[in-house]
Amino acid sequence: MKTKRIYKLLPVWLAISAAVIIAGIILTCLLGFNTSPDRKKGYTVEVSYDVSVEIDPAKVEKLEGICDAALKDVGVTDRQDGYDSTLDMTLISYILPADCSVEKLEAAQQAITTEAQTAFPDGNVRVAYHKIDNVSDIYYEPTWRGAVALTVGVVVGLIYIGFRFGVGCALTGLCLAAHDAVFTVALFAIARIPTYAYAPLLFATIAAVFSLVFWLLQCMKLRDAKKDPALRSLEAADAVAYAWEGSWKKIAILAAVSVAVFAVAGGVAAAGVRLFLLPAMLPVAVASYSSLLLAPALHIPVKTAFDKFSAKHKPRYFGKKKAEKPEEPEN
Amino acid sequence: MGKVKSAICLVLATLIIAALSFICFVALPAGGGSITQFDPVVTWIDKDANLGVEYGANESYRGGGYTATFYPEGVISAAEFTDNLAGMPEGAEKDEYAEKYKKVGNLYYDAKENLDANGKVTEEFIAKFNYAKDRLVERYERMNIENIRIDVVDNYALRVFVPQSASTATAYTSTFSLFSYMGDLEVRYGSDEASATTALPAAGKSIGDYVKGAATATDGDGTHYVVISFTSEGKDRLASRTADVADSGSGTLFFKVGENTVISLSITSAIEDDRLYISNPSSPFTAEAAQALAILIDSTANAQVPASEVFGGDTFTLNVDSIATMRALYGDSALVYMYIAFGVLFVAMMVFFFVRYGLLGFVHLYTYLLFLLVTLLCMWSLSFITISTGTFAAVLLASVLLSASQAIVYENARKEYAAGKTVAAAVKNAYKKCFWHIFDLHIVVAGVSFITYAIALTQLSGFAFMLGLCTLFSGICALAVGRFMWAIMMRFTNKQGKFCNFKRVEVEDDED
Repeated sequence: MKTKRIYKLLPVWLAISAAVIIAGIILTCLLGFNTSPDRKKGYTVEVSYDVSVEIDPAKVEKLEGICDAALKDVGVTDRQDGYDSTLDMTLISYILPADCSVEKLEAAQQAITTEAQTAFPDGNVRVAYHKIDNVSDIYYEPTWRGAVALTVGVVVGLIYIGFRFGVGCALTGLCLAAHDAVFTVALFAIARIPTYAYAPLLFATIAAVFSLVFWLLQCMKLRDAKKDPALRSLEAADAVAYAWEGSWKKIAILAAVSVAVFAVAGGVAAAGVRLFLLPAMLPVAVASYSSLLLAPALHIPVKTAFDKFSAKHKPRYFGKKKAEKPEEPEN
Repeated sequence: MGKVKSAICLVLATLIIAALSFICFVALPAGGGSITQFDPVVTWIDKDANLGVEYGANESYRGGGYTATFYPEGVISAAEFTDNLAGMPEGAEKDEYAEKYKKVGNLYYDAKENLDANGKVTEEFIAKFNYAKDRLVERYERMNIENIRIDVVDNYALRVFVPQSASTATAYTSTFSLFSYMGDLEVRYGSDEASATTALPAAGKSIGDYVKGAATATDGDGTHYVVISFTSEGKDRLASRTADVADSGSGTLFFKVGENTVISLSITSAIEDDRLYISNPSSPFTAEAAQALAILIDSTANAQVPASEVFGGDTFTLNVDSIATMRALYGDSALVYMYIAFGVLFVAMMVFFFVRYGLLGFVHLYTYLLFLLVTLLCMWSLSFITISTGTFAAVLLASVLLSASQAIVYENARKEYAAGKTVAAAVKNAYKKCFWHIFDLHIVVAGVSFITYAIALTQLSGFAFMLGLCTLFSGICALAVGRFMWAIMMRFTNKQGKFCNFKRVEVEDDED
């Protein structure tokens, strides 16, 4: 069986992974993730109006027009509506980025107040802007517990693989799952993909799960090869090549379907949901890369070593031990 | 299985799926009275606060949640200052009020208490504020509520957002006042609050020497308790201080945090246990209310730095103001768009199965619907599961797993049939070949997911649990339900190969 060229490229795959992971770790330490969707820092402009405005949709529309015009230059990123039960007023909260100029905010506040007073002389419209600093410590415990949970989960999954397919497969699977989880998180740090603070761990979990599934598909073919008398004597490289050739289509189809599912769901969903679903394609892509390129190259030396070890420690039959004759008593 | 039995099974399966679909997706008129409509199960499942959708009486549920702004003692908002000033008659009092508060940034500060000679916020105030902020963050962090958010507003005020939830909204909003209590824990004993004397701690000692902490417990009939544990020293002191209850007939223990009484416990005998199980028979605790109270007591009893060290002899309070109901951040229709996305994917999946496998698509349709309906019923019955982006992703991934497993079996059966076997033999062989492959895939994913769920918190926990549960259902559906459906549906056709869109491979004889 002809060994494919990609199996010989282990140093290349390792170099790529090492470069990405190291860069990711450095950038995570220096900058962290791009958690701009969580609005860690920024400003809000809060416009509240009483029932005299609320009762007439045309007035509400006019007030929103005044706000939009005044806030045009400050860069509104989002908007959240509500009801202030303390003031008994309807509330519009415009969300603004941290680099917003305070002078512009004050000017906008003044403009909205003046125009609203002119447009609704009998109405009560209040405008205030606030500086917001999110307290990120709230994610500390979920983050470390999530990392522990993921590690324990993957190790238990690999113990099962170890029992079913051998320790060598479990070892490669462990390397792949750990690689995919870290690689995915590193890519988020490097590419500065906007994400919610809770999301990188979730994406790492998705990557580890896909990694295990894709590796399992190859393990199944390896086991088939081991069971088949015609293929049992294959060298490690040939057995891995057989498993790869028998499973790459399944892996590619499963990855393509999963990516398509996330793409369609993300495409249709609302903007906030899209921020989670579209980046979820990345862990699937990472798991596919590692399963199709890194896994076979990595498993050849592992399998070779384990095959040698098994051959060396193979129990051999030396025949039935002869029963020792009882010593004859000396007369 | 004979044709008649298959027909009965198919009719039963159809009826069950139809009935469950009605319960899960269709709102039914109730026919008068105070209840006008039975809402479908899907509306009863708790939703992520960021996903907006309107349902309930008068569309009362719209996603989002509640925010409250906490102003430290001696600090007020610009709106409050303006309102108070406008409400005062012209005169010395108004001038005094205007003089008392100075604007720094967007907030008004009591100049005498909180500002220095240069009009800047004093270091003492900053230390008190930071202490209060840390306590508030710690308490909410321990609640482990998804989507909770705490912001520092205008440098020295705090704003907390708690998500609206169909079942727990009241309990969570009550934390606004409960968690604003600052100060040390003190246990007082007496016939009434005014005359009660301090039982714990003794003068010059810390409450941590007497109280180990607080937790929650639930008994068999669902009553929730706050459990307060005492050290042996605390137990002995409490026993000696409450010993006179036998003479007076009754007494009350007051658990106070700073100036606020959080528990008033009537007792009729001396307390000699090292644990107190406290319930509220007149207004029973909900699980969340008991949890909040236990967190408050535990955080004050085990505070690394006692409040008295930071506040000195003064009190320091956080005043809850500006409580607002906020709409869902992602918009009122975010959940509807998610349902539409799911619908599009469902149609795409079924088109693939019907085009590729002909009428065998019905087998997958029945199997998938059963999987989906059971998943929805579980989401509804498990109170800790919400419809969120995480759980949505988990259902999508499990759906991919189920569809892939079904497709793998169908493809194997197709190959067997093409090789010349009968459909029945092809199906049998396909399942025989694929059983352990599908089993391994599902058991590994479910195992990893459930273990992750057991350790992780919030979003990851919800995602992992749903992935584990759905994978379990997917495994059962792929290996048992799908095969059963295939067996009963195949009974009604004589052209079984055509039913499955399977074709024989035509082998041309080479004739020399």
